[in-house]
Amino acid sequence: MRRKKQNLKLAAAVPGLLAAFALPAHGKSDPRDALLERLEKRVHELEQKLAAQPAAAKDAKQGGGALTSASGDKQALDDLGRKVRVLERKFEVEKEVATDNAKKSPKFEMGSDGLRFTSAEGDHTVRLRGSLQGDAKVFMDDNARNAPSGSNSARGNNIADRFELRQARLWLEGTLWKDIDFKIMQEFGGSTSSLFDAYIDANYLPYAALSVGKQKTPLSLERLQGDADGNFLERAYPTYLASNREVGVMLHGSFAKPGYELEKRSGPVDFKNFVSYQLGVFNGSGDNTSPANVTTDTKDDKEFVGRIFAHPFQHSGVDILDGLGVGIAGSWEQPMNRAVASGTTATAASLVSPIGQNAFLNYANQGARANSGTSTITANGDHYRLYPQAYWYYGPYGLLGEYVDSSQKLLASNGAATAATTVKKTIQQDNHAWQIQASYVLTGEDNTFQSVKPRAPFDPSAGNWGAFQVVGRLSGLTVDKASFSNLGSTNSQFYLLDPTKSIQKANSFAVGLNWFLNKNVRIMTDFERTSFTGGGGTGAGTAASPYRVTDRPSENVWGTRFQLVF
Amino acid sequence: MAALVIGVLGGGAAVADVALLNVSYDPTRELYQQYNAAFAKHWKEKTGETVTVQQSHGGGGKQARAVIDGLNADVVTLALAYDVDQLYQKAKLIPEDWQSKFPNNSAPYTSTMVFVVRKGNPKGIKDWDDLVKDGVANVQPNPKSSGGARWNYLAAWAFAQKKFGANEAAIKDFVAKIYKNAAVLDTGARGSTTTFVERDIGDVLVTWENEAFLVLKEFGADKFEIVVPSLSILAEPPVAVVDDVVRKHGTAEVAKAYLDYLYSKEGQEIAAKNFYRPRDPEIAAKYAKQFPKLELVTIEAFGGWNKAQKTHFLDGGVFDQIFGGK
Repeated sequence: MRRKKQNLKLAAAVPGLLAAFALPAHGKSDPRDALLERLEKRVHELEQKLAAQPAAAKDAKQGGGALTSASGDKQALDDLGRKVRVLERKFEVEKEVATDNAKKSPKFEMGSDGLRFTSAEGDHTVRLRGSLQGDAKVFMDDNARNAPSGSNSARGNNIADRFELRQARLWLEGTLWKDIDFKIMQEFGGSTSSLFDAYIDANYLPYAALSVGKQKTPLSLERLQGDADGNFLERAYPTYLASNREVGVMLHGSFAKPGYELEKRSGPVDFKNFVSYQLGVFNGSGDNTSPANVTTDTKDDKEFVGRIFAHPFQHSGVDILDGLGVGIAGSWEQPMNRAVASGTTATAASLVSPIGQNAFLNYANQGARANSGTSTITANGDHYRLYPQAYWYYGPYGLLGEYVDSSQKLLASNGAATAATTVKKTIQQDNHAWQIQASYVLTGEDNTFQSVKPRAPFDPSAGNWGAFQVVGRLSGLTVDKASFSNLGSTNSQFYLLDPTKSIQKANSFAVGLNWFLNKNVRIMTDFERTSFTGGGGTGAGTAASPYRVTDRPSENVWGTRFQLVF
Repeated sequence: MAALVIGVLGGGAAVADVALLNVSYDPTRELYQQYNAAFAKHWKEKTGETVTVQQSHGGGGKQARAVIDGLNADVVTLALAYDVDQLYQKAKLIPEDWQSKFPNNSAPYTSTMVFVVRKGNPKGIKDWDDLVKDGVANVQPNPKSSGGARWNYLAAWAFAQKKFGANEAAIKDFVAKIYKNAAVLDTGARGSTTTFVERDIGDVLVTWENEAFLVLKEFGADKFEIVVPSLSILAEPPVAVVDDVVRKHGTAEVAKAYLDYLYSKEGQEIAAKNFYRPRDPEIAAKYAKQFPKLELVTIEAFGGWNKAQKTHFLDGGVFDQIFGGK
């Protein structure tokens, strides 16, 4: 009976031991494998011998030889049992040491989230991330035959179809000492390399954290969405009336619904928790200024920005409203003689068509209109913006909308050489923009503000095609009429903006399809039609030849993007 | 705001309570369980404060590294002075002269290393030279991770030194044979006890004297017996207040009192009851019968802990040389 028990113990121990040793082997030939194989074989032989012992005992009546053999077998079995126990214990000790060492070793992870290094205790993490966006844009019905005489690409005709490296970014982000987050992001796309984000975010108190450095100003909801998370190739009009990335300091915080735990946010802006807020002071550089290398300020005036956002129905039990987020943001500044025309490109102080990204209003490109002579426009006085904003996500459905009321005091000067002939005019320019976009994930995945994660990554051999999302958007912009009025006299006209070069109103309608091959790769295709009213469409006039102000032709663009983010 | 006020008031009410963390080595669990209760009672009577002492146990070397790496120990009660000294050497958590802060070089009790064998001593083990015999499997911790194991090693070395004199090659060979006969090298003393007692591995357990008594007490004197070798080493497990931590916690006074109390009659009695050799002559005399007399060498015979560590236990030291080939 005792022998039988011993056999059972061995039979249980050996396979367990084999399973335990299988872990570290990893396909590599481990000398312990051979040893265990021998032990297993030996146990098997001994078991067979012991099973045959009743017969041997019977035989023993005729002589003592078999009993001696049985006693020897028992000894061998005991020895073997000891060996197995020693090996088992040694393995346990090895495992304990390995676990202990693993706790002390920094972790390196390489996966779809990029490269991540984490210190042994988890207090420090550094992650290398990157993104690439390769775009193609084709403009339709834009040839000169459809345009009035004197028209050119600056007025919406003959726009070059193009391939663009829209984005090529590398960044480091992470956490040091559990609570200090940081991000350093460099943009290599476009014609110059520039630092887009560089901030330190001290998160010791989740309800009162402090971020310092260059970061997105918390105004436009769509601007705050990750650059690669948006539903369309480009953002809509409200974003272009907001400041872009600015250098400054921001107090921000998040609150969980009472009774619930706060979720860790990534970065200074939170889209996870019940209520969040941001209050910041920034250098301020005006609407949609290029974020490239905005690192200094030459004036004392600063831009004050505040935003509050809430998910009022979070954890309410009303599932359909759980993903509803509403908020409002605002800014105020009082710049003195700050240039609003820092360049002539689409990314510098210009208003552009969303997907086409063609400038249709550029404060720097007014030129000297006959009898006008406006040469410089500066922001010189109160500038405030108000941004009501909301989104709603429920299962595969998504809606996002925002409106902006922006008012800025602009000073225009004819730049005359003498004080006697200098003419200066001021207007309070009130601009408005809005957008609403809807999206639906055809393959049923959750639609979120932070993009869509396909349930099954693209793998045609397994019948997996990733996720598909259809999107639609309406967006509009209205520029203050006063900008286009004659502020001078009939004989000495003075226009802030030249209606033959800039438009008063733009309305865009866009539809698109997004194909998420996996969580990193997305193919997007959008069509957008933008209609303009209020000018911007004809060539410049002269004193001898009266101006003919017509609308800029509508822009029809088909754009595609191949995007990789890790 | 109301929540804030309540929180602050609540926090204020808790100020009267104090918590300490004692980071110790493997076999002191039972000692400090008993001692902590006695100290808490003593402190309550003396100051009215409620003190809660949390314990952390593991291989002494590992425990010292954990404190260096940020484990917030108010006090350490480790297996050997070298490990405590690392708190100064590596992280300046304690003063350089930490050993002078308490009597007896901050070692309130002592112990030594003995053998535990199975009942009837089937392999006839009497002394260290029985451990080098073929077929005698010993169980003990690894000197790389355990303070107690380093005491074991040095005790064996001292025995060999007495036996072979200046013949260092013979000494090394002797100690090497002991480790070649080790069935399992655990990470700590308590792990070795588990291996020997519960897993039924090996013929002899080389361990702390207090741990040996505990084996008999917990697992039965009818199953095991203690064998005291002719020579062993005087193990002096030291204690220290971790100044940097107590300053931060505001526990300097209670932490010092906690270790001071180890030297009191009551503290010494608890140590003796847990089979640690007390320093107090009166208590030592009371428990004299419990502790057999044997020849004990001290760490000074090895030039102190720093020298012993450097010669024998650092990477590439004698232990690596003799054990590396196994």
